[in-house]
Amino acid sequence: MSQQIPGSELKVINIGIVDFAESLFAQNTEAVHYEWKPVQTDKEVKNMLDDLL
Amino acid sequence: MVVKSIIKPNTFYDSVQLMRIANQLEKDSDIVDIAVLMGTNQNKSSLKQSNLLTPEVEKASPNDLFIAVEAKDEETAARAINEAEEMITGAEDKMSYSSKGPIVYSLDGALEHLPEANLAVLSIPGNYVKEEALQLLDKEINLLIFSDNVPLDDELTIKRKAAEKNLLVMGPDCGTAIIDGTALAFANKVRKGNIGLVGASGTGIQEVSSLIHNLGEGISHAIGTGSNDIKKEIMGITTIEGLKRLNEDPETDVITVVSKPPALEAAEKIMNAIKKINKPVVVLFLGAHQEIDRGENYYIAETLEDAVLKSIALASDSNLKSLKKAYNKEIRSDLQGINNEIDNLQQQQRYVRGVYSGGTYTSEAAMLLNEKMSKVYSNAGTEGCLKLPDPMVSKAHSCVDMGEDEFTAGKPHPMLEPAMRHERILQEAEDPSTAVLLIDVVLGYGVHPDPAGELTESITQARKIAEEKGRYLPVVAFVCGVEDDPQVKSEQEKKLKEAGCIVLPSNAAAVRTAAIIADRQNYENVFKEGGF
Repeated sequence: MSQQIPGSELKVINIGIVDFAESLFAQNTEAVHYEWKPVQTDKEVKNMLDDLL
Repeated sequence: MVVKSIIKPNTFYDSVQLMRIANQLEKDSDIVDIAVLMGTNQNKSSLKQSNLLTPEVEKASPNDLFIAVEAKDEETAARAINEAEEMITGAEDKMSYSSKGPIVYSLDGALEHLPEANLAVLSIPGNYVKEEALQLLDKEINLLIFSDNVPLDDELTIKRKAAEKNLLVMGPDCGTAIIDGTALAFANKVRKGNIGLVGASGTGIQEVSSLIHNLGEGISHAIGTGSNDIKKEIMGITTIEGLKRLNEDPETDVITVVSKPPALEAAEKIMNAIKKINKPVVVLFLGAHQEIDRGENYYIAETLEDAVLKSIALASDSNLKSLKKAYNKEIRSDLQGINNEIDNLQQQQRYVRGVYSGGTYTSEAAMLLNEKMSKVYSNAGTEGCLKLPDPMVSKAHSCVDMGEDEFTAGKPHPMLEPAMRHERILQEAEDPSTAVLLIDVVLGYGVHPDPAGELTESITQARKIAEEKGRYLPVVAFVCGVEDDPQVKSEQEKKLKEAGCIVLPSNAAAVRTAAIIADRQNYENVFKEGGF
């Protein structure tokens, strides 16, 4: 691959839909799947703690 | 009927996994409706027309997962919820234990695994995209943003920052890209070659890249830009960046732009960028009615197929007329039995009914039918065509994009779940004025593992419905894909042919064939021996 699009050898971080990571692994592309979750707000964390305590 | 729902607070799963679970459970005839979704406002508002928006679901936050079921009784509803929960746990186990690659739970973890990462594929809810995208750009990582519903302001911020850092951002709402032979998101396993693609049409790029492959040539890179890139707010930032990069790329000899029509202001800017390219450029703004000045280095295409043939002629230094002649010869051999199909039609069977999964194919079909026929309706907003007053019911000649929001609210896209076209296919078969059914089958990574297998059940049933009413129903199909795709093109085509379909190599050829049948024309006058 050329330097321009977008690097010398494709190395991919897949964030979100796991099927896309599986497709990359199936193509033997160097890749890692980041199992993304939304960051919780302080208020949500507080509510969770209130539920637990 | 009973409606039950539960909330699983602070539980996140990707939308494809969740929709697949809902779809699996919906096959139970005792379940009327089911949704397994994250509690985003968009997901909740998609349920307004159903009975699933319970007070409990209304309270769900974007970080909560909800399961809502309408079933014939309490027991069925409770069982469906239990099964959904088990399937969700199963999906988690599958990822944890059977994935063929590494899984991490943070960006730092990802970078530890892959410190030289140069591309991130982002498919997370739209309102979280900006924060993640900016972090990735700070790490000098290019982006493919699959997510939709990213605010235009956020898109602009992301693209401006990328430009400052000399990074490429494909998307948001980018469904297809091929970088150095690697298929990203929904793309096909095409061979490498010297034609570079750029544009705002995922399924358009899929058809152009697959047809180029099937006709013996290959793709250097295909850069998806996302649907908003050609709006006046974004002014083609990624399209222009993609053109520049392909111009500098030593592996690319010809550049092909495949796009829906851009906003006037964006089109002008894109055309100015094209004029500065020192390689031949084929430009397809599918369905555009604005006149484009002729230039020395670029060639205007009318259809996806036309863009392919022009690109190949330029890339392989071949004669365009000879290419068209050879291509038509192949189509003519596919149409040997078409006169029998026409002879079997009843007089009242007059109309083409396209039931599509791809938006670009729907637009192209409506555009091509509209050139030859009157009263062509569509829900795809194709310029010059009539808008279907009710997308749920066809009128005269109709081309329906089943991937539009009115069909997919809370449901999987038909490229992921072809069976969601089942009811519509049967509905068209029931209509005595339907002369021919027209369907697309899209292969590649990320889409359904056996779309033809799913559709042939619907097609067989549809033909039987027509037969029981004394009619014969021809079905014309085309398969977008290549032999090396996970679904294997020839196997998919074989299934369709065994179900009695006429299978053509491109959407344009399939549309022209459907028009030949509905209009009782002689195919030799359409697919002429000397080209078209």
